[in-house]
Amino acid sequence: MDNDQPPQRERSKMAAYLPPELVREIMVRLPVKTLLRFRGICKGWRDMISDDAEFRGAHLRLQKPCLLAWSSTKEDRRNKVTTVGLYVPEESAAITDTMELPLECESHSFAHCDGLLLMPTETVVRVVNPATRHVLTLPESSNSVAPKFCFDVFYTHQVFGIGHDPRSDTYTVVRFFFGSLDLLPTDAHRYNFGLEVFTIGVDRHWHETAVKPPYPADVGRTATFFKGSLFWIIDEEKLDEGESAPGFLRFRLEDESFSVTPPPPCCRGLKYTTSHMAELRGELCVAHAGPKYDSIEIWMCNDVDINLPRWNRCYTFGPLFLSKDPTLITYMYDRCQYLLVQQVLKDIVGIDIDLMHHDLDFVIRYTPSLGLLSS
Amino acid sequence: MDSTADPKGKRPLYQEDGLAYARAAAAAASATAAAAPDEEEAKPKPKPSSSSEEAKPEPEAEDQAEMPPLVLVAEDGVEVSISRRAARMSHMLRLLMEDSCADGPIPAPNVHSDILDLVVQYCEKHGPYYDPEASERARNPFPPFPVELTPTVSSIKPVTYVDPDPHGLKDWDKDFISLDNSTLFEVILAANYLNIEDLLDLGTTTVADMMRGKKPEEIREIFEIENDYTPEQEAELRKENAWAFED
Repeated sequence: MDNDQPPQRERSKMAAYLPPELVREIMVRLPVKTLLRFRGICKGWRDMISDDAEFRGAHLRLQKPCLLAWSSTKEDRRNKVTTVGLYVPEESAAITDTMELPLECESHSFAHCDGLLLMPTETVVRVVNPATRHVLTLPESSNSVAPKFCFDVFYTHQVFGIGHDPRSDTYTVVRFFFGSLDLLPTDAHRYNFGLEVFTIGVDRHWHETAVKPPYPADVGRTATFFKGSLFWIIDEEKLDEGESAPGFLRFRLEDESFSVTPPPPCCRGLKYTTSHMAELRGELCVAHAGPKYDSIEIWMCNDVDINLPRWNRCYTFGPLFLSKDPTLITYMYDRCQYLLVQQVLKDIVGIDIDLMHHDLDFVIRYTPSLGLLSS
Repeated sequence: MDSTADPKGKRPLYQEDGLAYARAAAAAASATAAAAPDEEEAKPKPKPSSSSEEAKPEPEAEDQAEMPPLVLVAEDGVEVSISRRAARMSHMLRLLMEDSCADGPIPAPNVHSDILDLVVQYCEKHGPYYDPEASERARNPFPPFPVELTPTVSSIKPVTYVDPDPHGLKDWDKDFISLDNSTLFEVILAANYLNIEDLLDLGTTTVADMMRGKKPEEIREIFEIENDYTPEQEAELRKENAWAFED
């Protein structure tokens, strides 16, 4: 073989010989901010970044989950506006990529799905992508107006959720709402409730599901998304006398069907209002007070589709010193929520921090994505 | 991944030319090849010592150490040898070994010997710890880093620190991959041809990191891309995502 032959290609312009699939392999590893900038390089790249669903999916799968934190930076009670700051901490750096949004007061808790943040308030529902700073305001709905009777404890008659339908590769926002109230001859109440959905990029208006939900969801407690379904806590106070909640209300996005998921053993006999749900490490998690109310347990389940889902008690925090006073329920709920968030932090960054010491309203697991660019 | 099934049933889905060529070469040399029994290659792969729970013996590693290394032939005709254990990192070579077609010289027609040396160097370093079942990203689920949430808040130090890199491979990779652009791209092409997932990941991630700080004109130069925007269109796009251009 002739070793003196010079290489055929000019070495300095090697990149030109990278086949398109390898250029794609490189681009899919770029952060969202850089990709937004690179849309201006050429039209081919712009189309790949903005309009290629496969590229978007591959990019999302390569992102490492991180944290999104928010805090109310300013409250203007007169105009009823709270400015919320969103923060995404980067590796060993101070906060970067902050974004501020004015929100009407009475905001529900946020939910995240594939880089999209659902930020519902009583009147306006928004979906935000903090990585692209794209804000989508959903159309109005008559069901956002509170019914004539008022809820004593909660400020709202609705509860939301956001999820991904794998079959159609779309993202759907749902609104569970309470309508009118029927007074029965026995002096009992019957609540009327329904569910409406809005698929981003597809729907122009909200539309109600063909089948009504079988159980009332606990208002204000944004749904947990897990493997194609949304899960709500059932509000036992709104059930008929003597009836207890059989589990968690589940809504499958694929076929818009309802079902009930049996709860972990801890929830039996105890009020669901003290439990809190989240998705951790690919499993559905429920944090709930222990049987004697002196501890908090976190139960996890990785497969809710089988006949009898198996819940494993994975963590126990306690003993906690609690007094049996009327604020116990709220305290337990806050505590469950707080502990689940701590687990989320542990899960992602493997560190132990005490949230209470920081000036944040809430922290969730978050994965930056290109989502919403085309809609 | 186990080859207890009939190896002839396996057909690669890519790089057919290379494999077909290698198989033909192996068939021609089969008479003189030191044919190792198939059972030795069919044993379960040794797991990295840090994660193994069961005390699995490592018969494959021992046997493979005794078996002669593979011989790769670069485009300039230079032969580069690679141990069987290191060769496992290449999906292509792994298939060849399973099909017992790896005994003769294996052509790498688009790869220069300098690049092949680098690639072999990488595989030899990572080979002993390689677990084909686990991917690079799955191996490091928790990046431990101190998080400063706001400038006014004290930084949070990790309380429990789990070392995800017990063999110091991360630092070695960092030194290894600091190459000039053209060499880096050649390594990526070679890793793609030989289907070495981890090296491809390392190379493409490095290029991506290098690209992050560059201006559009620099990117166009590196990838030889023609700007098909009008100046007005480009300015419009820039305005749309103005915040993305700040740093």
